[in-house]
Amino acid sequence: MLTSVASLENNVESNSMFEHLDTAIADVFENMMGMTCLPLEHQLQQEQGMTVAICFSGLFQGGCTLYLSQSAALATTEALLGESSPDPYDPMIDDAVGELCNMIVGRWKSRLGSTQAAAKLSVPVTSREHSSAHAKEWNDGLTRSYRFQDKTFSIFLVVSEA
Amino acid sequence: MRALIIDDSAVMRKVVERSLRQAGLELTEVLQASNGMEALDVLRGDQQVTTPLALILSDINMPVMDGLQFLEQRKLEDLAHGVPVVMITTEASEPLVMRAIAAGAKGYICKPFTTDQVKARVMPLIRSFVTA
Repeated sequence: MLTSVASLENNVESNSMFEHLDTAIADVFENMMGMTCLPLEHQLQQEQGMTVAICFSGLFQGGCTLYLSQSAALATTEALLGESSPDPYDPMIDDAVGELCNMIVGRWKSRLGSTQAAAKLSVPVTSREHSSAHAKEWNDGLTRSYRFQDKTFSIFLVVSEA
Repeated sequence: MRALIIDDSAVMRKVVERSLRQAGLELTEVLQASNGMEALDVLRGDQQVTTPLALILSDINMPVMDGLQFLEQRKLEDLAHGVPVVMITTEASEPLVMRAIAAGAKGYICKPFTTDQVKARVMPLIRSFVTA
């Protein structure tokens, strides 16, 4: 039976998912880039620019899609590498945002209970075309927006019990 | 000191190298591989080098050959004998850690990581490898 998080009757579980996501994102930005990244109180329109998708399979299913603008993608790449990247189409940017999403999801997963953490993660798929394919496919889910420096990005997360 | 970094992400290979240098490792050469298969080729070609590797850092989830398969094959071929291998990965479930240790990994670093964490995991291994 597939039950999306959004439709779970227990709101505590959804809140807990958000808290784990907030902490995971804060950890990734602080540890890897020395930056503070905080959740926004309101949800932003999904950013036009780049998307990264990672799917979960195993004891729970679903996925995570990261939406970020070119400038946010460039800023995270430069912060990760510690050097500037003058070319906005540098493939290292795709690589960096893929790793960013991978680390966020990996950290988030490790913060869940051991049963849920047993799910496997797919390789991140990065696209420079705005896509809400996963959102359409998975229907319900959680979307949360975040800010670091003067940049913002959004994350769509859906988890289903297998 | 020479090190081998294995990760399918070129960005992560750079990040790991930078962290090693920030942790105080004086690296004279950093070899790179984007999966376990490439890493085995690097090790096979590195056997006659006068300055041996002092450290191998490897991701787990990689295409072609993952980090666990790399560990197992390296053990089978007895490549880079005694050189400490540290896994750097987002996947840190207990069964995976146990499997990596059984296959020869000496340490584990979870992404995201800090330079202090890299230093704490890597330095003791290098010290004991150098004095062995």
